[in-house]
Amino acid sequence: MLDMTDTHTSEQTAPRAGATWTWPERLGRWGPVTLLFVVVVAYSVGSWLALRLIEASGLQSVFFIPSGITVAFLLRLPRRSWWLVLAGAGIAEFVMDVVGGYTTAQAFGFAAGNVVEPLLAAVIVTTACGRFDLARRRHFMWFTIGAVLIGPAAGAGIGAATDRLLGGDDFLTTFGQWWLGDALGVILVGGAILVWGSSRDRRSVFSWWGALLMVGSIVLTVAIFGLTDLPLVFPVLVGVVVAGVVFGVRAVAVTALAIATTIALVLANSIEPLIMELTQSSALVLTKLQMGAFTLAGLLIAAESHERELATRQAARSVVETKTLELERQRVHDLAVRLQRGLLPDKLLSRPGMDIAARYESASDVLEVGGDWYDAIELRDGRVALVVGDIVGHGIDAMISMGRLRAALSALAIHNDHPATLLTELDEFVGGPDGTAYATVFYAIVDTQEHTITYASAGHPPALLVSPDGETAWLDQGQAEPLYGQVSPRPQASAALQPGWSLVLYSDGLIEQRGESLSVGLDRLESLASELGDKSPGDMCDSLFESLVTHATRSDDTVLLVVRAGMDSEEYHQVFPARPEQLRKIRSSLRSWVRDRRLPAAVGEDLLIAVGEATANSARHAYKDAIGGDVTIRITLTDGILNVEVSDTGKWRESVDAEAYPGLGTQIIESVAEELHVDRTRRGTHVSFRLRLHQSAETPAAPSHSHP
Amino acid sequence: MKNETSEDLLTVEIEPLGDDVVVVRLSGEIDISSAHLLSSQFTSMVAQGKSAVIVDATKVIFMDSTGLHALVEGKRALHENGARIFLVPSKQVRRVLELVFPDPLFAARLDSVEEAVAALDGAIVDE
Repeated sequence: MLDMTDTHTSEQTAPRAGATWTWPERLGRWGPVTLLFVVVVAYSVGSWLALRLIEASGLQSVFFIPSGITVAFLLRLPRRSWWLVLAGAGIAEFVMDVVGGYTTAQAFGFAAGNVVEPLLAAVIVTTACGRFDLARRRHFMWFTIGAVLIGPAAGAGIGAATDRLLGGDDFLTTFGQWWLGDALGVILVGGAILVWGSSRDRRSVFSWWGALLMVGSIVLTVAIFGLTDLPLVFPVLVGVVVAGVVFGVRAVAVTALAIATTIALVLANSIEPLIMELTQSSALVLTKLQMGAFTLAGLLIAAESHERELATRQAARSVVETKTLELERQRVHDLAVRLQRGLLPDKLLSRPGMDIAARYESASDVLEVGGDWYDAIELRDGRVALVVGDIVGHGIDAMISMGRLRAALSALAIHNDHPATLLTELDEFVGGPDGTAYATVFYAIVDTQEHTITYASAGHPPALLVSPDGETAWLDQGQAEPLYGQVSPRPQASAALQPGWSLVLYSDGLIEQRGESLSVGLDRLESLASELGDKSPGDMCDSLFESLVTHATRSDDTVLLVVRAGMDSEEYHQVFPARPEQLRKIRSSLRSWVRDRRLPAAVGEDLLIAVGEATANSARHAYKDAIGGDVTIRITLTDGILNVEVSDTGKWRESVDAEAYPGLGTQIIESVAEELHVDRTRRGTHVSFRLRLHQSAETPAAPSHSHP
Repeated sequence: MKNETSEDLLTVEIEPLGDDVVVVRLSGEIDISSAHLLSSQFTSMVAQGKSAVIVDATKVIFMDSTGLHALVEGKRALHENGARIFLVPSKQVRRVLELVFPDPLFAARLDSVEEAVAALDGAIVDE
């Protein structure tokens, strides 16, 4: 048996069309009149047929056709139309009874019985089932209880009481005959009409096999009644039950009606009906009971088999639907991702002195795929513009906006030297006819000759600078509001991009996690990037993505652009605050530069010693005066010679007497290097010297090698 | 940003070797920011009247003129108080020393604290 959950599910998804007759309503104001007319005619014709055609040898009609017609009409029409059906039935019954010779009182009683009977039946069935469908097991059960048993019993009670009170037959006999006849009428005629309202069991009765079953059943019935005197209708009716499984409720109902009609006709016209020990009356009752029982059984089995088939079909369909839906969803997601990737650069700019890598990961949910983008654009003066942007919003619209904004930015960038003015021009674009975006953008121009970054941000999170040995700095100046169509002057800022340092640009997917403040995400990025300072941009991108873009957090797109400057350049150019605690950073950055260049270890040590003395000199003054400037170190490698320049911008207040041993530092530099020049001016000190990569004869020999 | 102090720039560990001999183990870098750590050790050794100090500088990866100054001043103060000093330098420390003092400033070319201890026993005589 199926449980209620399955039944419920199938009810929800089954088509509903055809279950309710709407034709009376469609006829507009003529509807009620037409309906009344149809009911009166159908009831009268049915009544006439029942009384004239299939009345069994003056006893009674085998089944009362109008009872089935009335119930079927009520179950197929909305309750607001019921009064018309009941009025039609009452009028037709009354008129026919009066015409048939009954007294007005009798006619009124019979009419009342024939009105109460279908009304009670319909109330019970529609209350229990809602919209009625005979092909449903539960509906069939209520049909049997309400329309077959209780309704006709009530009608029979009223009818038999009327008859008895007005001097008719024995109450029980009339009651029994009426009940049985009306119940059969409901089963056979009502059933045959109602099966056409089943919107779901569409197994056709009009197949060859269905037709063969019907014709065969009728022939068999005629044969049985013609050849024997026994009321053995059940062999034929067994066929109806079997048909229920194969052909469905329609076949059962129609075939049962055909057989019953045949039986009734045979009985009505039989010259020597039913003998043996049985009286005609009881034989007729037995026959009727058999017809009723077998038809009901057939309908039940049909409904049951239908429900099972429906459930199987439903299950199969839901599997297919789920699968299809998933495939469709995947297809749309793939399409969206392809579209977005199509809008991003195919290949990143590649140029000497700069190593660029980028990564893009779309959100896992198709609705979240959005408008993040990145770009690297070579400007006319050889500088490189780097862009990371994020259209606020998600979906196809965000992607389209991204495509437009990216195109506009690339076009504008080429003619624009200043990040701030570029963003202002983008403001104009966004506020113009093609701009619908509300976007954040980080835009930086990198100059590898001058080792500078000029940048501006429109509401975008700050970019991060990372040194090879893990030092970090946020590019968090030059901030202004996002692009949203309001043109305003924007700030810009600049920073030094030391050779070997990496610039990390990203969209917020990299730092944002649910239930976490932005600063936590920024700190996490900073500490991770600091560990990766000596990695190539590609490796850094991979590691950052691996650590920060987990599947759980992929609710947003993420782009990441990493640029490492000057790895191909032989030049070292760094600016440090001229303070004692900076000296170790200077050494650390020099060590990695030496390591990256694979300079001879001994030369590296000497370079460190010499630069250490020169920078300590600058720091020492700041140390003493607490007035700091910067110390700039520039080292170039030409033809095996390291040219070193160390200059500071600190204001001189004291001469070198702060040194412990005046001239010791200078002495050390002179010992390892050549051509030492020291220029002291009011603006600062400029120290230059040279180191040879490979020792030659004129290089002062390091005493250590000759020491015993 | 990393929090940088002279302490993590240069680590100084003191290990007594008998009553009046001390091994000063240095590791890290000696520049303006950290040289005072070394100077204050020598001051304290002199005050305690130690007879000998072994400076283990094998783990010093960088020393500039300020460190050299601290070393030389320490040696002078110890000698003035009749104490002896032995230096076990790293390669970098030796390089800086030799750049400034072509004549050996610290008598012996010691490669380990063990050699210094042996020198202490008189196998190698300090100047």
